[in-house]
This record gives sequence, C-alpha cells and structure tokens, in this order.
Amino acid sequence: MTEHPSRIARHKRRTVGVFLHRIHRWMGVIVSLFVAFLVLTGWALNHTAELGLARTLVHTPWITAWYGLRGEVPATGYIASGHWLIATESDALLDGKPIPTKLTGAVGVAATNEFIAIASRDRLVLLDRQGRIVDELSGNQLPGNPISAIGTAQNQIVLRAESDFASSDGTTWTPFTGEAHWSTLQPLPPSQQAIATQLVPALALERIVQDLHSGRILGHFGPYLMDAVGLLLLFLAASGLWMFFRRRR
Amino acid sequence: MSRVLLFFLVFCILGLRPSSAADEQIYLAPEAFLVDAFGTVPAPSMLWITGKLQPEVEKILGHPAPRLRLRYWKDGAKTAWILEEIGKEEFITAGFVVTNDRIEKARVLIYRESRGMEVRYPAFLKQFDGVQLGDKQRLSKRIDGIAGATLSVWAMERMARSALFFHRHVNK
Repeated sequence: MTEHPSRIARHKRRTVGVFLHRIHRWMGVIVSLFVAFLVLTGWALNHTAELGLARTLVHTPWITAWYGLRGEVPATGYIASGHWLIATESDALLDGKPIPTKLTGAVGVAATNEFIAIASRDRLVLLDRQGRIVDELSGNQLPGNPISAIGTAQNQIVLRAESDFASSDGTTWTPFTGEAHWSTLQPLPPSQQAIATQLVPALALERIVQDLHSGRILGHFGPYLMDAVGLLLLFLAASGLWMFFRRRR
Repeated sequence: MSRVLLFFLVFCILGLRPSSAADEQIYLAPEAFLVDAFGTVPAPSMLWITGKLQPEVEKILGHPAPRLRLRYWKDGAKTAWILEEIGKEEFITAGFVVTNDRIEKARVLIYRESRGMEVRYPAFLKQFDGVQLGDKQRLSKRIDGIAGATLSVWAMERMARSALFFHRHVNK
C-alpha cells in the first residue's frame, strides 16, 4: 500500500518541526547563559560613569597576570622631611595616598617649609603641607627638561636638568651652583613596604567588563566565541519565527 | 549560570581602588595658544584660590579647585586662562581669552577622555564667543550641547564660567 503524497509531506513537516523544536529548546538553554551574561555586562557598560568603572582599578594578581601585567612591589622610595614617596613608572603614593594628579617616572621628593615638591622627568608637582596641589609645572614652566633629580638647599627646591636650578616657590628659577641635599632612593621600612603593595599593576574595571562583553578576555578565540553565540541567537530567532508561523497555518 | 555570575562578581568585588588612566590628545599646545592670543606672550601672573575665593570657585565648579595657584596672562584688558576640568573621568585642558568681561576665544588644548572630543570643533567653540557672566555666575548665553559629549560640554561651560569669574576678580 502506498501512502498519499500529501500525508508524506505532512509527516515530513511534522518530523522537521519536532526536530527543530527540540533544537530550539536546547539552543535556548545554551544561549540563555550568554544572554544573561551579555545583558549584565551591557548594563554595566551603559552606566560606566555612574558605576565609576573607568576609575575603579582591579589589582587582583591573577587577573592582571591573565592580561600579562606582572609587576613587582617597589622595595625602595624617596623620603623628605618624613614624607615618603613610593613610585612605579605609572603611579605614585605620597605618605600612602595616591598623588591627586598623573605622575609618570618620579625622580624624587623634596620638602621646604611651605611645599612638598615631587618631580618626575617632565613635571613638578607642588603640594602644601595638607597634601593639596598648589601647582603643577611642565613644559617651559620648568627650568629644563628632562628633570633628572630634585633636592633642597637653603629652603629652596633645586632641580637638576641640563644644569641645576633653584626656586623658593616654582615661579622663577635661578641657576644654582651650591651644595644641595638630593633626593635618592632609600630602602623602604616595613611600614612603607605594606603601603607599597598598593602599587601592583592594575586594570580599569571598565576595560575588563568591555573585554568580558566582547569576549576579548579569552584572547583571539573570544570574539569568535561571541560570533558563534550571535549565530545561535540568529538561529533561535529564525527557528522561533518558523515555529510561530507554522502553528498559525 | 552560577559560575558565570560568580566570575563576574569576583571581578566586581576583589581589590578595587579608585584611579584613572587614558591617552591624551594635544590639539593645541598651551604655548601656541598663548602666542595666538597675545603675539608676544606677557609674563604669567599668579592667582591664589584661597580664602573667600575658594567657596566662590567651588560654587562654579561643583567641587574644590584642582589647584590652589593658577597661572594667568594679562595684557591690558585682555587675560588668558588655561584651565583643567574633569569631563567624565579625565581632565580636559582648555584655553580662554577674555577681553572686557567677554570671552574672545575658547579652545580645547588637551583632551584625555575616550569620548566627547567633539567639543574641540570650532562649530561648538564659537558659541562661547562674546559670552559674559550673567546672574548667579552663569553664562549669559545658552550653550547647545553635543549628543554623546554632554559631560565634556558641561566641563567646558564650567571652565568658561571660571575664566570669566577669574577675569572679573583680577580686574577689580
């Protein structure tokens, strides 16, 4: 006995429908994990300013190591009148507090009666005794560039560039030829060693969330994984539509 | 699912400390801005933001001034101010030339944010031309915003108000 062609076609459609329905369900389960993950990270990225993601640094060693950032805690620092400056190439702490400005390549700290002066290769930051920034000097406000050392002499700040210059307040600089007390690296005492651990390499949380969202946290493979998830979503949309319209017929 | 959530929460909870980092774009060197403003640049003067000036500046900026000592350049009725203000996360450095209590020129000198650098375009900056300080230290003219650069626009407005306020203060 031969079956009627329309019954065969209906049977085939039903078999395909059942198969598609099963696939759709399982794909939905798999993709739901990624959707929830993408929604959470997407929400976070939409509100980076409110959540302060760019300003929040992640210091967790295994995360920074995952990104290839392996830094050592400084074992030395600069001291002037009891004020400790501990610095890496990109960050610096004065008396355990982050300096409220960007300072790369610190070369030392000096203290006069009025100011605490922190020098980097291309910048001089003057703070008052409460740690508030009085002024920042760079470019042609400095007597020379790059700065290689900072010190004090007769209650004046002395900077070493091509030659030595001294100033009482950083507004005018005069050539200096006397003896200065130069700021040099000193081994950190135990109390400062504990503080120095704050300077391990860090990543902005915004960067990590962005990389989680795009999949780049998994390296070159990550974006392809997210592409695959996108394809699955596309498949879900197509199979969902197919089943919806098939039932209506 | 719980693993994914745990993974995400670990990032959020462990070892967090505020700080910042971004690349900077120099659109106009401060020295070039001053030459453009004056031709022959006068020696800088200093304005100390201390005493009664502090709360006034804080009212304009919405936070304490980033520095206690401010350099400015003055030649007759004209003053030039190079100011810094945070847009979203990073400082924007802008220059303002003020003549007779009106902004003559506004320029974005250094931009460090990842988004919003459209404030550097002349089409935006020319809105500041001729603006003066009105009631409650507000600008006399409404500055149209830029979609996606709102915080940078607000930072530019705060700096413009500061420049006009400082100009008025040093010309008392």
